[in-house]
Amino acid sequence: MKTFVIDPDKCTGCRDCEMVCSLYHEKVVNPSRSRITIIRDPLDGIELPIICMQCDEPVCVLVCPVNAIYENEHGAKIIDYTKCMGCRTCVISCPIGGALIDPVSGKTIKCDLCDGEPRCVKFCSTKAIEYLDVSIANQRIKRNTIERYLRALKSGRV
Amino acid sequence: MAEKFQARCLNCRNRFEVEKGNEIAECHHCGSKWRISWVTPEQPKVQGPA
Amino acid sequence: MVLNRKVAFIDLSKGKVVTRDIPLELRKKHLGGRGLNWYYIYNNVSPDVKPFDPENLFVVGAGLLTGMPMLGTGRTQISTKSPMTNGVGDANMGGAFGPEMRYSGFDHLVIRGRAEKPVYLFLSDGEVEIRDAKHLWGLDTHETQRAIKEEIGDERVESMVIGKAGEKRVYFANVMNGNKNAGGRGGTGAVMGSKNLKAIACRGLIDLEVSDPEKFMEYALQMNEQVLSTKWAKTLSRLGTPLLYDVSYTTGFIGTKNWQYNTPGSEGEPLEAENLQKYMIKHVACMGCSVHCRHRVKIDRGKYAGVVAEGPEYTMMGSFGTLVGCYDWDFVIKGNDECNKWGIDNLSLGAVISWAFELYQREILTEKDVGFRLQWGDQDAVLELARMIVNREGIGDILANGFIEASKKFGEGSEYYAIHVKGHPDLHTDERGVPSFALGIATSTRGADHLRSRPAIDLFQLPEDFLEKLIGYKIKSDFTAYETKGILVWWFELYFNIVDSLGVCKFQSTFNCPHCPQYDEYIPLLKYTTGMKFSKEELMQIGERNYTMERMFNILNGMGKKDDYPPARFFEEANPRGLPFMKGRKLDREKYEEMLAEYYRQHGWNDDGIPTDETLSKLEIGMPEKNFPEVE
Ligand code: SF4
Ligand SMILES: [Zn+2]
Repeated sequence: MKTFVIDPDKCTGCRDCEMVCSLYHEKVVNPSRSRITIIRDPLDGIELPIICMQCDEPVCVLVCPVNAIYENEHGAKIIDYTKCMGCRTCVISCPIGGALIDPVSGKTIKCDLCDGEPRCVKFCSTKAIEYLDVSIANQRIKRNTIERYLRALKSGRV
Repeated sequence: MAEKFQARCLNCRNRFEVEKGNEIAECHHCGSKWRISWVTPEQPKVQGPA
Repeated sequence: MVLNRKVAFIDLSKGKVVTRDIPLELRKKHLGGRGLNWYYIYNNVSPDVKPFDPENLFVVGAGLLTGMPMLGTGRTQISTKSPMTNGVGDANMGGAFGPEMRYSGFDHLVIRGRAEKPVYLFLSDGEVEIRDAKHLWGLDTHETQRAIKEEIGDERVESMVIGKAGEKRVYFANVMNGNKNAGGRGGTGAVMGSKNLKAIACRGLIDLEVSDPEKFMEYALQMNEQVLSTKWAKTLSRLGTPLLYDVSYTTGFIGTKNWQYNTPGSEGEPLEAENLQKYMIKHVACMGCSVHCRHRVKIDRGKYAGVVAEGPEYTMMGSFGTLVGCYDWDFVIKGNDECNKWGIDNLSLGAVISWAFELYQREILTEKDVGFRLQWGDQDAVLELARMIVNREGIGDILANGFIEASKKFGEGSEYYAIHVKGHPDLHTDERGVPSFALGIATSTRGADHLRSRPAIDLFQLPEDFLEKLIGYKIKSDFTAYETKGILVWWFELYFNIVDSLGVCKFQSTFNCPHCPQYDEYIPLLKYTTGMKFSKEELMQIGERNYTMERMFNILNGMGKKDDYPPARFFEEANPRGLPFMKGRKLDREKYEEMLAEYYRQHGWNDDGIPTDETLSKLEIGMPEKNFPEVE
């Protein structure tokens, strides 16, 4: 089983992930159509990646009135567009902002793990987003936390 | 034997070897002595004169 | 298609906008970005137009590859007739404005006229709206961007704005996007201010279609990896441009106390790049960049405690560092942040301030002229003088008009101490020991500058067969040589023009590192994105055409060979300090003349540096023909 590991401290705000996500899924570069979103404000110093975490017990699957969301072999929760009626219930209910609306096509969209090889991860040069086996992910998350602490310690900020 | 990595000497502009983690190193071409900083654990660089 | 972006002709006096397609023919001749910007200015701004006249154009351009996930394509080109030089005024800005402008449907904005009252432009989904900016006038560059985002109600709005300096038409005012991204050079912010144009904002949802998405994705990733595998990019990723300080202060090519010395020596140790790390919060990047050369920093203690900022770059380490005899990161960070908010080119500002300090040392300026003493190392004096320049107070009002006008006012030989070419201040590097660098700042179309042709790799003394393969000519490896360096500079002038016309980041080009992507890599990139096929020779020809057009603009505006010389000081005074091979070096006039002649020949220009008729016709450059459409 694999999962995303996200470390906002490593996100530089370059948005290669958004550009390549739209390119992979829509064949065009258009960050506003990306499944991954970087909440970003360079003036306030914020770079925060938001993406569907492919929950174990996904709210989106539960609430979809037409059962349009299913799980594929990679554990991705996928929208079946032959069923989806675009009611946005999943968009509204997802507590982490994983489902969204493509502002161009109007379709409800979400991360589908690019057939097991998320393109955002490939393009993330700082490893702010990784896609790892859960046992490794646990270690990585702890390591990120400790590194953050050590950095703060070194800079005299704690 | 400690691992060695290369840095460029600012005086003769040749590459010289620095032992892993060392903060001072001497260019074996021209004898200049440099303070070294590490860009990565494998990449030393001249920071200034020693 | 990537090519399906428009050009908007905007007349601020009339409040009217006309949008047009960009003909494929023009793409083939100029690509985009810097190249196309100068096509519009060359044809439409005649020599009688003064920089602050409404008839001057202010042109914004996205590169042909801007807004793609590779090679730092967050770049925007801003061009105009410069108040400092009365010739080419041109700046290239990082950040995220250019991409968003493309997503909003536009590749180029050609702006003329002057709005009656302050306005800003809002571009979205193929439309240009001229909006009232009365409430923004007087705000700094950060406040302005925040206010615009709030007003439009969209976090993803990007804007390029001017601050106080641009409003006051300080000749070296700049244009800013985000925290620290500057269209720094050429005084573009002053021209924007003269048009009563406070900001340009954009937000777009228009797809950038790529001709071969699969191949492009694969190749883009490969490009990023090629860059990241270099030692150069690894160093830049960690230290940012301050990495250059360690080299320049150790070797001895960093202007110190104006350009009296070429290094502070051990006094300058506190400014070593590694010492910036302790201020760091995290690394940030321009859009499309995998290198992230920017630091977000915070000052925790002391006089400037609480400052949170982005940068500073190497430029600031001269301006508020060695040039004025201050060796304190706190001060460099603080000054940098102020400059960013004022919207002023910190590089030019530093050169002008340090000049004033030297004039004070030489008693050409006195306490009475300034209002206080200008003593080397006095941080408060530096900051106060900077503030006076931005606000055009007292002597600041004179200094705000740049070297040429100010030195006429001050007289007494003050011009000699002003380090500039064509009226455009130099970066604080000291070029007198490196002939190729000296030629580069001298021939640069925008005046003294390090980003128009600097063959930084000349310092590495690369093997000559390697150089021959890279440049296509036999180039001397010895960086102190003059012979063949005219050709080297020529090559980089063309190449950097292409880099700016494509909108990729120079730090990810063959600038400081010969292993970064260049022509051979741009060819497939262009094919996979635009579907257009170019050969290396064709790209170089475009570079030559674009460059010659800028040269012609300068020539038509009265410049010529006389303006192709580095500052006189670099011929007169030898380097007093530095490593043995740098100490005692200065430029040799005779050899310089030969290098310049070789450079002219290489471009196909005559002995006076004027492109020959044959060269012009080969490049299909005619006399200017106005083509700004009717906007009634
Ligand atoms: S290397 Fe620096 S300037 Fe270039 S794109 Fe990246 S962050 Fe921007
Ligand atoms: Zn050496």
